[in-house]
Amino acid sequence: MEPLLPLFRLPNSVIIEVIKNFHLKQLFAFSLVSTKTKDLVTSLGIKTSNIYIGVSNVLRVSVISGENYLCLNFYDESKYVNGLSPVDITLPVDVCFEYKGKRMQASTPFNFSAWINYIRSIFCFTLPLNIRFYGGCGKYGIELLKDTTGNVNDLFVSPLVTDVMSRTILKHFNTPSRLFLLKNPFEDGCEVQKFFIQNFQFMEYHDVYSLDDMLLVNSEIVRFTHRTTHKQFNQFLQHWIRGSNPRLQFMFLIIKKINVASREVNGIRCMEMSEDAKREIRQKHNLPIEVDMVKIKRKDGTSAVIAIEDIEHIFFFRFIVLH
Amino acid sequence: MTSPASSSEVKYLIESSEGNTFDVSGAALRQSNTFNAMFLNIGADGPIPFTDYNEATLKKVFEYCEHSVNEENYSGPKHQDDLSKWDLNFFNEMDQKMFIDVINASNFLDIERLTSYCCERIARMLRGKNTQEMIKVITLPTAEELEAKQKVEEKKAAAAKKVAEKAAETAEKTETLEELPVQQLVQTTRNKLTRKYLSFSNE
Repeated sequence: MEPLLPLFRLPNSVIIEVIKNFHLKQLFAFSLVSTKTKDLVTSLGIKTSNIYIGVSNVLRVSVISGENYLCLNFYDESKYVNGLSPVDITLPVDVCFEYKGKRMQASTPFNFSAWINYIRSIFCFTLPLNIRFYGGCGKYGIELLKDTTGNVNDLFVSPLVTDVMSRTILKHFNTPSRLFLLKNPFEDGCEVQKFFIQNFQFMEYHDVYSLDDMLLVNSEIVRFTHRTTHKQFNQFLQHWIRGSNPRLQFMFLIIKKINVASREVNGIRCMEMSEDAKREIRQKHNLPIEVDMVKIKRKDGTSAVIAIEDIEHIFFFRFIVLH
Repeated sequence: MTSPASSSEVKYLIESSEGNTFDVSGAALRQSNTFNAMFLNIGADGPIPFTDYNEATLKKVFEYCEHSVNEENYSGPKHQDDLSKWDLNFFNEMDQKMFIDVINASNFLDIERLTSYCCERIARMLRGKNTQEMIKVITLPTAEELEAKQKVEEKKAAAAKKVAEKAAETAEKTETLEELPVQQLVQTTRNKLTRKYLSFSNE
């Protein structure tokens, strides 16, 4: 039999030194020993950078602190994974995680919402959570999940989520700071435009988009990953010069290869940039050295840079508004 | 035995809870931040009474300090895998009770290196264990034990506070006693305070 360790005969300062050596997973397991251990873990004031909730067949909560991470699974027993019936997240549930090749399970009688509060508490995370929806998420009540998480920072909706479910998700999680929408779930193409109009901090969209969609963008940063045409981008630039998209700071898009050797981009006057200015932009936006760029100016005097990265058969365009 | 601050040749007498005394070198003692704060510059005019700890525990702690006198300065926690053969033997030959006593003493004496290694060693004992396994290994304290521990910690904090207050009070008084040579005055006052502090700790 393993010798007993009278840990609590040691002063709190020593116990704290002991648990500072723990990985997040071990800290989590330790916090569940007693109320006192929970308080000790909380007293560490761990700097948690983010908490993500992944919703698929299972509910997965990932806690990230520096290079340390903890991945907690809920409803990962086969009866849930293989079952299609709705899961009631208001009932108590066990939490499981892998540590050193072992499956660890805690059976504290918390429901999912109480677990989230517990995790937030011991890992000192007060910022909005992030949530990601994948295929299989349909058995969880979206409204209950929204009640549990509150407003989220990141909302990610995978293309594997059914259109009906995607629409429900977008309806309930309607105020994220960052939206990752990988497929247009609306039958009427125009309906997705209400998301372009919203003033997100960041939006990533992987489906087909029109010039109208581009002109409605009200986010600060937008990433379009579906290929567009040079013509559409050129039309967008002409509108921007005349004052469209006043909040836009950065736009990424992909265009099939065209000849961009000319400094004239279909009637738009482009200005040369010094090597120093280009280097500064590359550093600020983590762009590779091969990225070339030109500058344009709108009528109110605001400048923007069009950075072009040549990748085999396509160009990555980055439209960067300067201040 | 009294010593000047810098001489590593000087031996200090340490008194344990049994009332026994034994020698420890100044160099070894200087690894204790508690000692440095209390005795380093003024010396001690008798055995230093660390009477909360038994002789075996104190000897074990100072054995470690004597051994690490010539090691490079402590620069933060070292992984258990990096410990020398001597260090490993030192830890392995202790039973669980002695190990806990050594940590407590090391923590009181504020010997960073030893405390840090001990903590890493305990962490290793618990590593890979789930909550249920930890509950089995860690002997959870009863409510009475928790209360007693709380009282001890409060008592120590109160004693430290009293010492600090007394020191401030005495410092004010000494400013007025100009007829005594400054060095002598400071030493006398601090010796008195030290004895007072230790009597609080021993309560």
